[in-house]
Amino acid sequence: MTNWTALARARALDIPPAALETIAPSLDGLEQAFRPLLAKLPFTLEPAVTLSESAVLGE
Amino acid sequence: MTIFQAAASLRAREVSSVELTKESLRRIHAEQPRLNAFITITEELALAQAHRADDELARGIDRGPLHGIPYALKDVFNTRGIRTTVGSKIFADNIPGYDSAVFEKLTEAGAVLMGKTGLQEFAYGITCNNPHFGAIRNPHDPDCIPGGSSGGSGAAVAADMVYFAMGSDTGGSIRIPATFCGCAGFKPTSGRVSRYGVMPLDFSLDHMGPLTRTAQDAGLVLNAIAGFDSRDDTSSRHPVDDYAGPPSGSLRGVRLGVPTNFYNERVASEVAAAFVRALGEAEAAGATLVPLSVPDPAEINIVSRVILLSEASALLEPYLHRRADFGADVIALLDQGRLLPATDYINAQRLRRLYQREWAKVWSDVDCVLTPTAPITAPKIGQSTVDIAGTPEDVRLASTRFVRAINVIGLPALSVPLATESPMPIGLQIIGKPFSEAALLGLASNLGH
Repeated sequence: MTNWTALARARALDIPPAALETIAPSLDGLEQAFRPLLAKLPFTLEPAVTLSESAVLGE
Repeated sequence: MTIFQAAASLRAREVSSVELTKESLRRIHAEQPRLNAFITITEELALAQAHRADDELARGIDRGPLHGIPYALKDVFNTRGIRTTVGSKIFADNIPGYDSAVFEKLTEAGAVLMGKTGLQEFAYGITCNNPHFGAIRNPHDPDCIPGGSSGGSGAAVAADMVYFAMGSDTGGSIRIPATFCGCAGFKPTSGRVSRYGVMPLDFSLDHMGPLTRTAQDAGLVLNAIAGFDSRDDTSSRHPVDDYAGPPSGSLRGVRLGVPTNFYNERVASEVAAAFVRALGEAEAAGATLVPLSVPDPAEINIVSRVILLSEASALLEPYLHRRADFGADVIALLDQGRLLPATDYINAQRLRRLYQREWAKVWSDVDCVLTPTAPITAPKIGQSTVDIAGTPEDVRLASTRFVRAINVIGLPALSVPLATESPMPIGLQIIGKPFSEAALLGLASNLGH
């Protein structure tokens, strides 16, 4: 399980300890649910959000 | 009265736009103390636009069905010179210097802006218990939430303050207030309606759409606002249809997909009863009910949460040093987003493509998919958990459970009220294949109450 308090400290995020305590269960639950889904990903599958032609052209 | 009826009365000279606007203002002033649906009322502008609409009609200039019709914009749509708060303290005094594409198009269509409706702070949540502008209340029971985040728009339409109101939908924010307030709410296909000039919550999940009294009215509004806009990177060049054609008139031969997974789990008894009754009526009217298993919405909801938490926190990062200026609910979500690794966000966007491919296979078997819009009716203001068949569930998660996955896939989805004996409204969600808006709206007239 990720130590969210240590992570916030390492990244110097100004999240108060009480706030971290409140959100930790939600983050734990999300991480537990999300991690197994990664096994479904084919190696070559690209993200739904990709660089567009207009961005390359600087438009 | 619907937009369709009001437009006919205007053209028959039975009523003027100024009269419609004054009646709308009377309703707004009467209901605002009870419902708190508006953040800003644009009375002066509305009367000026109404006078112009009448003058044009008298001179034979007809801008179409929305000409002279009073409406409202959720307070995320930029309006030049009129404050656009996003329901936040951070932007409480924000006066945009340009108009959103939707406001441009509605002005061009001759519609009359009555004001900017209230919402969840930053459109980030579903209760509309806004810490800066006060709680918005449900017209059917002021002790209940209207749903959100477009709660002011839902309340304004349901309380007859305006004929239609625009909303934005990132994970159900048009459809949830539609079901809780008892009106129609339509989230079109990704790219169908321009997001230009709308204060964003999530760049890859936000959609713009109308809340109306009927599905046919939603089509009239969509006719005015749909179409390609080069100023929005996600805008689609897919041809625009006529979304307000006559209803199909019959359900005979229509294949209605009914999920056998997820959407029948943990549903309040009154919602399940209304949904089952609607299915029975559709079948009796000649539709074919097709049981099917849809790509797992529980998994897609997880993907949605990772994307939304990440994108919303990235967007609002420059303001997070002002923690005290955010409400408790929103800052808790923004803190969560800051702690998610970038790799999770990228992989969520990759999973999204996987689920989009799985959903594309559904349309070979059915014309649309039907679900309840939410598994519950509107909870009370301040209620944090809801009991469904003896199991407690977080109000926010329960309210969004049946709708948020659709934003990840980008499909069009409409909520229309169902017949119910429940004192609070219940909605039917009709999900279609990409760019099938016209067909969905035609079906909806036969499926809703």
